[in-house]
Amino acid sequence: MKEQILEILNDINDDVDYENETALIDDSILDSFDIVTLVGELNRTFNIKITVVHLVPENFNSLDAITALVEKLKSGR
Amino acid sequence: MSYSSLSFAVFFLILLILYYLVPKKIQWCVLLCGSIVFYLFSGPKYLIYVLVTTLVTFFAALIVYKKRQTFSQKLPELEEQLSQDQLALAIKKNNRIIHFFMTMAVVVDLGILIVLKYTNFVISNINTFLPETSALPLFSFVLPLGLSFYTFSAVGYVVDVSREKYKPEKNFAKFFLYLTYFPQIVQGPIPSFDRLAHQLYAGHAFNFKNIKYGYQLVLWGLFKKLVIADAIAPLVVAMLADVTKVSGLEIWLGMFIWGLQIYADFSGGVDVSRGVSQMLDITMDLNFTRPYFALNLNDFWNRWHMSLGNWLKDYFFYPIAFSSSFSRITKWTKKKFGKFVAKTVPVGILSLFLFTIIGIWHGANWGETLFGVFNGVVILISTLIDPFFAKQRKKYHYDQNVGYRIFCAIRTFLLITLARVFSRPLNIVATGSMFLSMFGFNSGHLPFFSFTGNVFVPSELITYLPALLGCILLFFVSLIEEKGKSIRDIINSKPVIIGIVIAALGTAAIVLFGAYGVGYEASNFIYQQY
Repeated sequence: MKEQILEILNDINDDVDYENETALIDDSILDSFDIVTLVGELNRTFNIKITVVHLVPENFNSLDAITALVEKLKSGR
Repeated sequence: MSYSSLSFAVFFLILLILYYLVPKKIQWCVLLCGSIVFYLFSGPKYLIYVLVTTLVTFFAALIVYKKRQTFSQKLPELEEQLSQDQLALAIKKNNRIIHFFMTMAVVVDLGILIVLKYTNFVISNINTFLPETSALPLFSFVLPLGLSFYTFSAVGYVVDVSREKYKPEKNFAKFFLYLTYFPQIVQGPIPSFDRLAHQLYAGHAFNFKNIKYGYQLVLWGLFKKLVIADAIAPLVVAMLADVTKVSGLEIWLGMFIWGLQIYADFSGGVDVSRGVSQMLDITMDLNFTRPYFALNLNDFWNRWHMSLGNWLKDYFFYPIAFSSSFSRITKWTKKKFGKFVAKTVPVGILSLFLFTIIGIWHGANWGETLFGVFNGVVILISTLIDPFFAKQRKKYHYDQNVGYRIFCAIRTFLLITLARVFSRPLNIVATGSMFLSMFGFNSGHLPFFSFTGNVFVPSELITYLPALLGCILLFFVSLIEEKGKSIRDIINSKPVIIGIVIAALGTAAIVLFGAYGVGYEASNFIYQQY
């Protein structure tokens, strides 16, 4: 799953070191255009429904955080 | 009752004393009474509008919560009794009921706002197509205080409850306090229930640090409002009253000064609100983070009136962008036109709508609408051409260069200044003439580099000296804060006497240089009727 998410992120912007970056939102590395693309791709790829409620920096600041969010939504928690 | 009036100072002093004298359990009642008194000063009849919004939102949120809770309790039973399809149908039906009540509240809340604020705009547009004799009459609505601020927070609240972001408030009086809390009702920031409400209802112990920090922020806000904004207001009026009689350079200068006036007025007002709130031990959201240091227009809107931008993102932009219909459009665009177009065009068009709403929010007229559209178009174009510049930035690494950043900040300031030409109360011919003059193309007009002398009367310039010094101070304070330092922390880390001297000097500057005069009446804040 993590590799698939990394692939989606690289597809959006391959200039970022996603393995080590922990402030994707806080440092405005991902802008609103990127977020919309990312959420659309995550929803489609993993058949989940990310909504505005999930849209907090803690869920999108790093690759690990995004993976955790997807895992949580996939398991229906 | 303006925040910069003496009556507000007396009102707040009495409230502050009572607030810390009464038992902590009923401190919120003091805030509620204070908010009602403050609102009544704007006209008792306007209380009815905010009451209707409160009633509708309060009960809709309770019903939404109740419907969801009851269904969740029944769910294990239903899972046993119903087939998968029947269960899915039952969930869908319940969601539809929840959606109905939420939508009803949103329609009523926004409906009141739209009718009061935009009816005359619609009528005057219809009238342009009708002969003068059959023109429709205009209504004489007076907007209730803080109409869009309390409406937006009410809409956000009921939508969030339906999204299960938080539980609804069960006490009507407490909810009424949330919507009418007097420091935020005048000009925001648009509050978020989960960040503000619990602070309003909790008990607060007296803490001298809050009083000291809060008072310093109030002083700074009043300084911006009275020593800068109100003092330079006559200059803006003189420079831009008749744009056909001044040169292009003078129009640019007038627009720059107007930009400073709007910023000092609006951010000064919010500083007073936040300072007053801090004295009550209540933290309000930031609404400005040095917008004139923004590197591009997108960055500017992330720093200017942040609560409006965040509200529009949370309740307009992202819900549409995350919807399945939007996702289908993006997918189709990707298939037909490729990845880049799919990423930029649909979101760009949505963002254009968002900026159009920002424009219309600023005023019910075509000028303000075009102000929003101009911002949206510039942001859309810059997003489309950014990949080219991104390659250059990557190659030459100039994006962290101080000179480049200063260039970007100036470019952004010039762009927002151009956008604001649409906000001037002019007709289409005058706006066009203003643009032409600003670019030196107004043939038959005054030469671009000329001073007419009607605007800058040398003998009067000395009267603007305190405002000029105030602007310089504002610039350096902003520069320090842009580096992540808190100016109040710096002052309060020095010996006490320094803090006292600065507070005394600030108070003296406001009293001596503030835009008072014979027959002075505290002028209203520009954004208070939004």
